[in-house]
Amino acid sequence: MTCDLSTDLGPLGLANPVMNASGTFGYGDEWPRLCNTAVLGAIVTKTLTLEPRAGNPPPRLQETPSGLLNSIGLQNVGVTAFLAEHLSALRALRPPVIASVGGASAEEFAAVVERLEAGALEAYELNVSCPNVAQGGLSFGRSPGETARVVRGVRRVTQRPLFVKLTPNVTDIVAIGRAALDEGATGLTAVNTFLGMEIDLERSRPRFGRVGAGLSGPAIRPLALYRIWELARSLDCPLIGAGGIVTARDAAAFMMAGATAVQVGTATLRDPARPAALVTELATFAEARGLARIRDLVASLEGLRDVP
Amino acid sequence: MTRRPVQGRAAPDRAPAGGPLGEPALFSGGVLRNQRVAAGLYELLLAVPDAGDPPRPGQFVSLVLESGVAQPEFEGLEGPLLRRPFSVAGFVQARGRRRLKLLYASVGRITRRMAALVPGANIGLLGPLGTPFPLEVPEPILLVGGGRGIAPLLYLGETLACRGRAFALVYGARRGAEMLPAGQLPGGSIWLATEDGARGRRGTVLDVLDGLRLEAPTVMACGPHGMLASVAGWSAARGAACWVSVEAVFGCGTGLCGGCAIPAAGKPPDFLWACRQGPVLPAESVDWERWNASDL
Repeated sequence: MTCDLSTDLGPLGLANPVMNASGTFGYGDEWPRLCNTAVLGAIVTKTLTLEPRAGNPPPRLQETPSGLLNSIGLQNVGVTAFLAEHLSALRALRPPVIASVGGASAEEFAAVVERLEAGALEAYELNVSCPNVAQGGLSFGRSPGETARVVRGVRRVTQRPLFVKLTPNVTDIVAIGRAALDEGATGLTAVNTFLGMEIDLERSRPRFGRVGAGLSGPAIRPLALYRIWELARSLDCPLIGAGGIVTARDAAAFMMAGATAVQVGTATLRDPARPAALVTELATFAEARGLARIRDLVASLEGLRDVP
Repeated sequence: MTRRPVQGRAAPDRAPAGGPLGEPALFSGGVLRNQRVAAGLYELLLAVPDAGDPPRPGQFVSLVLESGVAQPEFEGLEGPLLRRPFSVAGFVQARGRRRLKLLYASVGRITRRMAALVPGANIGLLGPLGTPFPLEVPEPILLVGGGRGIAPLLYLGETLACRGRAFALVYGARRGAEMLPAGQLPGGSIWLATEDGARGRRGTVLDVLDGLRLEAPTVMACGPHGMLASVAGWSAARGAACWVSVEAVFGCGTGLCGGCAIPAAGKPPDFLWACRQGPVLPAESVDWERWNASDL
C-alpha cells in the first residue's frame, strides 16, 4: 500500500510533511542536486532581515555530545539581495517557499514581510526566538505581549500563512503560542534552540562572546518533543515540529505528539541530503504500519488531549 | 635553483579540470592503506567511486567514520555529530580507478579513531568542497607549509609537477620527527625548518623565507593562521601574490550554516566562510589582525 504523504498547514498544502529548519540549509538554493531539494514538502530560508547582517565574531560553533551549540547571529544578505539573488532559483525548485523573517523591532519584522510580499513565495516563519542577537530574537519570543506585537504588525501587511517559531527558553510555551495565534498566526513552529554555554577551561572564559549560545541536534530531541506535546494539548492550530529530528522514527514521534509537519536542522550539517532522505524513509515507515495517509499520524498519540 | 621544472612522481591520467566548480557529492571510500608517516601524522589512502568532479588542489573532503553514504540509522551518541574536513593530499585517476589520499594528525576524537582504521573499512565522504588554488599564475610558485598544513601542498605540488610548472617548497614543523620524509615531498627545491633543529634550519618557515634568495611572484601557503598571517605579510612586502588555505571549525563544510566565519579585510565586521569562500583565499581578503586577536 502506498501512503499518501500530503498534509496541510492551514491553507498551505504540502506534498509531504518534511522541510528543512531555518539556518541549517542556507537560503535553500545552494545545492539542489546534493540535497535533492525538489522533493521536500517546503523549503525554509535562512532568517532574513531588512539590512544585511554580518553575524557574530567567531567562534560560532561548539560540538557537544549529540548536539551543537551555535552563535551565528543571523548572518544574512538582507531581504533585498535575497529577492534579487536567491528567490528565482528557489522558485525553480518545486516546493513551497517559507521565508524566515527576523528583526530587531516589530516594525522591522513588518517591513521585511512587506518587502517579501512582492516575491513569489508561499508563507512566512517569524523568528522571534533566536538566542544569538542583542535585539529582537529571544527577547520578543519570551514575552507574550512582544510576540503579539510582532505578529500584529506583520498581519497588517500580509494575508499569507504565518508561522511563529517559538523558543523553548520560557516557563510557559503555550502562553507565547496562544498570544501569536490570537493575533492571526496560522500556526507555530517549535522549537528553536535551547540556551546553553560552554567554558574554555584553558582560558578560563566562556567559549562564546555572547556567553549563551543555541543548542540543537539529537541532544534536544526529547525536550523539543515535549514542547510539541504541550502545545498540541492546549492549542488547536497547525504545528511544525523541530529539534533533533534525524530519522523517520523521530519525525513520526513528533507527528504523533501533534506536529503536522517536521523540520530537519542540525542533521543536515552532517548529511545535506538528510531532509530529502527522510521523505522516502517516512513513506517506508508509514507503509510498514499500514498507514494510508500520513496525516492520520498527526496527534494520534492516545490520550493526547486528555486532562492529566 | 629557480625556474627549474621539477619531475612529478605519480602522474595521473587526467589533471584536474579548470572551469567552474561542480556540485559536491556524497560517496563512500574504502580504506586501502592507513599508515603512520611521521610522529602523530598519518596517511589514509582510499578507493573512491569513479564519478563526479575530481578534486582540485586546495579542495577538501568532509568525512564521517560510519560507512555508507546516508546514515538512516544514525545514532547521535555513536560518535561526533559533525563531519570533519580534510584537505585532499593526493588524488590519482587511472584505468577507471580513483585513489584519494588524506594526511591527518591524530589529535582529536575523530582523528584518533581514524588512526585505527584498517584496510577494508569504509567511511563516508562528502566533496570535493571549497575553493582550489589557482594554477594559472606567474612562476616560480613558492609553496609554504607548516605542520599538517603540508597536506594540500602535496597534491598541489604533484599537480604543478605534472604540468611542468616551476615551484619550490618551504616546509616547517615544530619537531623533525613530526615531518614527512623527504621522499614524500613534491619538487626538487625544498627548504626545511624545525623548531628543534632536527631537520633543516632551526626555526620557522619565516626564518627560511627571510633568508631565501628566490624571486617568487606567487606564494601558496597552508598552516596555522599565525604562520599564514606572517607569510601573507612577507609576500605583501615583496609584491608577491599570496594565496592561503585556512583552517577553522566547520559545521557543515558546504556553506549552509555559516559557522566557520573568519574576519574579512575591508569593512568590519564582515566575515568570510572558510568552507565555501575558502579554504583557499587571496591573503589580502583576510583581516589577519582581527583573526589573531580572536584567539581562534
